[in-house]
Amino acid sequence: MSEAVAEKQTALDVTGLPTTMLDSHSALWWGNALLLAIETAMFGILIAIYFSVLMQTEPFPPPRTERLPILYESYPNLTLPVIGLILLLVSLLPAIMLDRAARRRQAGMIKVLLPVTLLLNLVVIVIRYYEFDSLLFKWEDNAYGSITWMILGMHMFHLIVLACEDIFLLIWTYAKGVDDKHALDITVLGVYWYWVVGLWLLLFSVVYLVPRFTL
Amino acid sequence: MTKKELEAKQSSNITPEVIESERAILAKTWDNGRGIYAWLCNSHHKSVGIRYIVTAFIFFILSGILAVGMRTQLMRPENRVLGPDLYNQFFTTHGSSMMFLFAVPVMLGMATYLVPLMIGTRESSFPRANLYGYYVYLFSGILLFTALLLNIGPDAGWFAYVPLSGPEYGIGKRVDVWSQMVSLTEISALTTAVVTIVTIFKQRAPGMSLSRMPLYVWSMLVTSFMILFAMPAVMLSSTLLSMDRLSKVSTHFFNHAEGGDPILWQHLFWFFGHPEVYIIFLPATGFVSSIIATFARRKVFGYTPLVMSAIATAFIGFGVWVHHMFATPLPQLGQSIFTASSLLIVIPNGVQIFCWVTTLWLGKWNFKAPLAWVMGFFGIFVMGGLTGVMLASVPLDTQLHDTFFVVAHFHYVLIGGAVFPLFGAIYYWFPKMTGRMLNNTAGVVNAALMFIGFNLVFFPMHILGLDGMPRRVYTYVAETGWGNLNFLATMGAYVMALAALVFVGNVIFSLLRGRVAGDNPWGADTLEWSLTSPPQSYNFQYIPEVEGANALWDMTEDHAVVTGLHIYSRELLHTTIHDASPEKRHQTHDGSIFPLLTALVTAGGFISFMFTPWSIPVGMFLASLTMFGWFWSNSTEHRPPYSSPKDNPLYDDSGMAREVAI
Repeated sequence: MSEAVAEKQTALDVTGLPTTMLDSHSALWWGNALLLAIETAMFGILIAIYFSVLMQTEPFPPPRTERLPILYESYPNLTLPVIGLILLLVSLLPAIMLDRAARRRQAGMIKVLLPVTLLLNLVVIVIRYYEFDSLLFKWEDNAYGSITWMILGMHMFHLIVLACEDIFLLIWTYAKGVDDKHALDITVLGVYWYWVVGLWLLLFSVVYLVPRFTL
Repeated sequence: MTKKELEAKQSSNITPEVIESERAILAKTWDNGRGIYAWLCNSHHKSVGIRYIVTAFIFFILSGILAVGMRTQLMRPENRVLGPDLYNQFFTTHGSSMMFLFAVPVMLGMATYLVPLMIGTRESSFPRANLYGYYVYLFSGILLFTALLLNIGPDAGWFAYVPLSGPEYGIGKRVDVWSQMVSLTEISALTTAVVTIVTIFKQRAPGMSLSRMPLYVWSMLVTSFMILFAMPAVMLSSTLLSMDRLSKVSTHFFNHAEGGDPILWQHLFWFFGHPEVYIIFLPATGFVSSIIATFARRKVFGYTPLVMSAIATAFIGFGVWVHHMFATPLPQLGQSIFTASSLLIVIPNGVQIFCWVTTLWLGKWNFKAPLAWVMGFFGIFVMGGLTGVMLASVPLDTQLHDTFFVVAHFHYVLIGGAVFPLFGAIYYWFPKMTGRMLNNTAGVVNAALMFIGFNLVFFPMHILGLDGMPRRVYTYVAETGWGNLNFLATMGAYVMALAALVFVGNVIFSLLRGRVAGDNPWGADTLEWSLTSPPQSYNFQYIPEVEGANALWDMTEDHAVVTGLHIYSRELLHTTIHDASPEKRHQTHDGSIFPLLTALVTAGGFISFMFTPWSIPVGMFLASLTMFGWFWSNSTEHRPPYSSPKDNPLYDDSGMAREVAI
């Protein structure tokens, strides 16, 4: 723009505006929300595939004939999955507290809660690792085994990503303290956390409860 | 950094001396460096955008050469130029490359370059993620063409139907190359879509409310949302296919013997595949709206119907995919529903055409090369739309399924609907990107040659299809009587190749000798034309306040400009989503090597998954390392805000920004 025009112009001074804002005011929050939209679409398609397999398989779940003993009522075991579900739900409590602490910039609280959430997350990952046996099938046995392993595995992948984010923020917080930018990061971690737990309620119902209620 | 520097900000005292001194500082802050290393790291949106576009055009030319090869093979009956196997590789690579490596990436590249300039910001929302997306795309393209050169190119068609592409019949690694290429390009498309949406949501110039956004930006916003929900389907299905195929994994998603379903593949693929058509077409509607407004010299007729049509197309576009599958056993009700929705989508597209024609009718024409391309678009795309309506009818579709009629139809839609507007857009924005005009006469000749060549190739295919010539056959016998029309089509292909040569020649000549373009050679209305050609590294020194839907035409002489942004760090203005009123200052990042490293790990992980499942844990571990470096460097390079917290009511006593309720 030419200087001649510029001299006539009025200034819209933005000096007083903040440099960090939370939630939907920040680009990072939107980036994360859209990423979760992508992942939600992906899990939606996985659920659709599950029901497509259900319609192709009679009886459902299929009898386990690949290994001995042959099982005719091959519902997934619920013990370990229920423990995992409860722990995930329990992890919501420190996750919410962490979110709130970040909003209030309570550095001490954040430094306590980050390891707590990480620990719970890691325990859930270990449980998930053993949870695959509850399905009674391997991924290579049949399409039912393939899709249930895929659903559990993809959700486990997101648990691992969550742990990685937690570890990063833990290291940063202990090395450099809590600043505005990372307080925002922690609240966005919170959104991811709620999504992972909420999604699991849905996936848990599909993988573990649907087989018991299909006629 | 000294305290003085921290205090430094764009002054609101806009005198020529201040403008000049701050311009020098801004140029230094936004400088992207020299040398190969700096080039590999450069994540600025204009640089990434141009790399996207150039790369996509290279793949366009390569796929075009494959098409010429295929046409030469079909020139006469029982020709022996390509064998059956090479022919299969050619048409599969041609289709896959045109769709995944050209059409979508070139639109995203144009958006990466244009959207930040059009909405008045200095950088895209996540520049490093944007660069990562580009590299992943580049590697996927290299993978596909390397495989073709090694004679192991994919050969099961661009939609790779199982069981032909499954472990039983798809021998070797050919289909794996295809599936990993698809997964990688979709990562890139998804990344760029997220970047585009957030840029549009948060970084529009003050005053550019949603109802004043340029139609091109609207079309890219809608397209990006379509990408978010369409691309996961193909990424997932290609991953499942590669898992079915990998002997050490051997899942059974598409294996009917073990409870899987081959038809499931078609559902998953077309749930992506049909929205893909609109993902390619909608950005082109944005080009058409921009070009028509400029060359009809008036604002586009029917701004609101055009926006609503784009949104309606996006919604209906997700409900038509089964019309690709009418030849499979489907319930009759399902067929009827998808016929109805396929007919329904004609309505928003028709509304768009009528709005454009009305704009041209009411305007005063300035007939230049970009408008010539748009004229070609009208003729060809409308005809492609009409054959589309024909194919939505089940009895006709089952008759014409897998014949050359379908080939003719979708080339009319895709080349007419996307390639013609794209070439128009290149002629239109080339001066902004390079500072030089493309030769106008050559441009009109180019458009005419392309139009004639195109119709020579593809119009005969309608008749061949009605005569029953199937797709994907490498030859035919003379007794079929298809020889003459095929010969005509092949001649048309050579005319199209000539048109492409004219284009490449025009680009090279104009880069060296073209007429120097001013800031706004066409008298256009969007914000990028207020900048120098090519724009400075920081785009806007003073971001203008936008006062109407046609930013430059509606701009008053004393319009307000934004001051107060940091000049020593790369700072952007964030505005509210709906009204675009200033909300906060946001520091963005300069280049980094980590996007390239992460892209290398991603591509390496996906490519080695063709051979071993261990690539997943190893790839995840390596990716976590590179991403740790990425985020750590993001964090450490973050500079503190310049304004002293004590003087600023928006900061509390501890120096932290307060939450602001809007």
